[in-house]
Amino acid sequence: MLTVRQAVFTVVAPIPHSGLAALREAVATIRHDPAGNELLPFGRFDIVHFASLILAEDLEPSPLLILELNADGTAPSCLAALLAGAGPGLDALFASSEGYPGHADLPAAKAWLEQHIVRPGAYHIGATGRTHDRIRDETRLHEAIQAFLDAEEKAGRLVGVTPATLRAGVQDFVRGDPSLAWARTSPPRQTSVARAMHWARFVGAIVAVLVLLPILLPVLFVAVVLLRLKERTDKVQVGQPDDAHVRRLQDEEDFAAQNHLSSVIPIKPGVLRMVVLRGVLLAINLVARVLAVNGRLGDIPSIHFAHWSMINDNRHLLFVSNFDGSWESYLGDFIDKASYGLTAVWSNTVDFPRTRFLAFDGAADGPRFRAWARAKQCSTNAWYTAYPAATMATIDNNTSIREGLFATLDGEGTAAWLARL
Amino acid sequence: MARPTLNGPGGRSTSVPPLDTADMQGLVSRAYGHLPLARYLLCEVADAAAARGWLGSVAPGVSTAARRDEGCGLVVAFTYAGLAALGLDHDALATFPRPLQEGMVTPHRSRILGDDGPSDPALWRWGGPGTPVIHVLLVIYAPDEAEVERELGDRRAAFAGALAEIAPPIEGILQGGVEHFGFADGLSQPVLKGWPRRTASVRPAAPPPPMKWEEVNPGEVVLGYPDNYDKPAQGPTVGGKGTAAAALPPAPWAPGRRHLGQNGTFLVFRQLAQDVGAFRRHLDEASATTAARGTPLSPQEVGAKMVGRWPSGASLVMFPGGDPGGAGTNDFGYHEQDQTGFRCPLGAHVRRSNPRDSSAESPAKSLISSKNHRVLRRGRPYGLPLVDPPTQPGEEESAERGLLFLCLNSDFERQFEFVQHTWLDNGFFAGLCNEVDPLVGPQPESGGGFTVPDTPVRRRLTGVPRFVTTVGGAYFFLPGIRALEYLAALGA
Repeated sequence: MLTVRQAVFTVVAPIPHSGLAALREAVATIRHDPAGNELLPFGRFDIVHFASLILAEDLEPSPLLILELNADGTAPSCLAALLAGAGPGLDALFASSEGYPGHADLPAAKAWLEQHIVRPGAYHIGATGRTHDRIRDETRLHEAIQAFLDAEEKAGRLVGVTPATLRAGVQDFVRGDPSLAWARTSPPRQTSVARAMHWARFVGAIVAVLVLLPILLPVLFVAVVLLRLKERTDKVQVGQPDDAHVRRLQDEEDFAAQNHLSSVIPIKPGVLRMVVLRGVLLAINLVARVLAVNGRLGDIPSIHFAHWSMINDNRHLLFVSNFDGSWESYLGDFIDKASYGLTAVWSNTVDFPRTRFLAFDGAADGPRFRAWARAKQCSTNAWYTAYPAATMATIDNNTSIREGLFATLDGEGTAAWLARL
Repeated sequence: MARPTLNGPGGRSTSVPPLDTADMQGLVSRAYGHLPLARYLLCEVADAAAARGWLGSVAPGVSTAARRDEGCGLVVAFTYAGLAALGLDHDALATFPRPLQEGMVTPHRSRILGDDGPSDPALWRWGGPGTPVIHVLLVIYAPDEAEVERELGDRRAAFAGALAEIAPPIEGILQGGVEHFGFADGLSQPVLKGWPRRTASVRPAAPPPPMKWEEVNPGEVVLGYPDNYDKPAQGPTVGGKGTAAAALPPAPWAPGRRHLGQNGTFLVFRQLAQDVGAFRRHLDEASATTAARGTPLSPQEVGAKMVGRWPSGASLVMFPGGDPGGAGTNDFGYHEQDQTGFRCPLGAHVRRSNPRDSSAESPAKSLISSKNHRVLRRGRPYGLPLVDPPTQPGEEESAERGLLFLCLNSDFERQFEFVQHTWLDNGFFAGLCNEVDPLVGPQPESGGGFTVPDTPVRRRLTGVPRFVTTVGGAYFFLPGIRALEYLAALGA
């Protein structure tokens, strides 16, 4: 396979109020056992990395069901796989939505689901190019090497061994295990074609902005003045989020190595905010494609998949994120390491802490931003992680172990490779 | 009035208002290292009016941060239930942070604090679901047995009829700044910007380290002052009417209300039993298994790798070869000298409890982040020290010993709970794979792992037991002096 495609998207479907009760029940079934439930057993699809279901009930004009998918392949191929393997489950979720034909009419059901795909305005993939199976296999490789080393040590075979000899021993061990045959080579995390394409878009965008600058400048000037006026008077959240709301969210947190965060926030009214938000998401997406390909988004090293999308006729901004560690550490990273970008996005949604010039203050005001983020966060009604005991750091380390296993390394490189074990 | 301008943690210029130390309880400024004996009294309010009367009489005598070297020290703190029992109104109670309202024991909090298995709150001696509700914590510090008994008698006489003790007093005793596992403790503390530099510790003072490792904005501990985000740390507020409220400063973020939190802080108290016998046995066993490498680690070296410091407190980063003795040092980072953990393992206790500059690619940014999660520790040991080796068999199990962990912070979730959850109890801290803090972490029953980076390849210790068990705990509000007087005047 030359390129590894990964699909980061949501399926967003309006739900009539009459369909809510049955839907709640279906979602609860999936929530109870996301990997193996009878409706939509995510664990049976070896393309799915993370998935979630969010039932946004109190939206106008009607509630929305949001199915978040982060999977290998394309969005249509992922939906086709789900339809083929869990058609009745998808029927249970979307039956009450207008026009959903049911999985019995496969082409029609697929077409309907594809029509309801929302592609994010901006997204991030942590483990660039690593499929679900590759992540699983490379974890197994690391574990096998660990067990090998422990056995060697116990048998006294590490006494006086040099780094080069030890690495050769590990290579022999892997060569000798047919079930690890795949580990003798290592595909690239990103093809040069993909990289060139992303860079071309990025550079193209910069050139376009430079060319259009004479026209843009007066527009920008007016926009900045208008924005500053709004920033002084926009309503900001005062006080702490509702206690019961936070308790409900915390009840769902801190079971796996990762956590999930989702929010559906009204976008501030007016054309200016709409245009600014679109522009910021576009810019973040362009930058993320070329700069955030090594597992880090800005300086944040802990995000597996995250996306922002404008949904519900551009009335709401959806954010979903699958991240390592605690909510507190994630928000701490937001505040300490990425406040400008996040402020530029979320200041276009209601009640955000006071900002200056779109990107300043806002999320940098830690306590106010944390309170806002909690208040705006919504319950993830069901959440699935394919690898609940793997962090971005361990996934990347496992890949590096495989990449270095049979690479040509000098003394320093050998020591660095052994330090990964 | 001109205010001193200092560099903020984020490189910003921060103006710190003068610190009103006379309105802060003494625990903010010191750990009473000169008073080796302590008694921790857990009480309930027996009679609200009498309790307020008692509070009014002791408030002027509570140790403050401005006084030095008193003969005895007194600390007064309240749980959320205690504030309600004193008669604080619902509007005011609702302004306290959620963790104080909920207390230390909730399913989520037990999950993130590692209070499971033998540390399950259902088994706690105090503060758990099966024990009486705590309202008030009184801590008495005294120089010797006679004084502590006299002070205890006087205090009990004063609160008779107002408060009732719900558990026997817990006895804390300093042992030269060394905790029961045999390591110097309390070396690394945040220093509040604008504070008079003479900081107090339970140990003899080490040479003052550069401020860069330790200085945080005062609002990280004391409510009402700028925190690390340069905004006043917001505490609880009360309605503005009445002469008692007039003594409190206005709360700018809550128009018409007064800041009950001003010069106060939030206090975490946990009684942590230490299994010294198991710890020493494990060091011996682990040391024996390292022999298979041909380069064995001594039991002392295994212990130092787990702690991240030598018994004297000297850092493994600065002294990788052995314990230099002397007073512990604190002037070190990880990024420049030891990013890979070959000296101080990535999962070592002190590296987890304060990663300093080692957690991100940029050391400066990493240090800024780390400093947003510091707590001011004020604990001390309980139970008699165990000599090594024990003088008689079975001595290790004959008496309980441990640490009365006590710390101050302005934000339970961002500080104490973060350190416990994201750093100490996090199996994936710093890129590690499924191993928690080797010294204090909630190990699984089958024992946990501990990776010690080494050449040519890591050592991997296994079967690390749980050495530390939580046997009690609660969250408290430690009010300033004027706030104590306000509480005393409730209902007047």
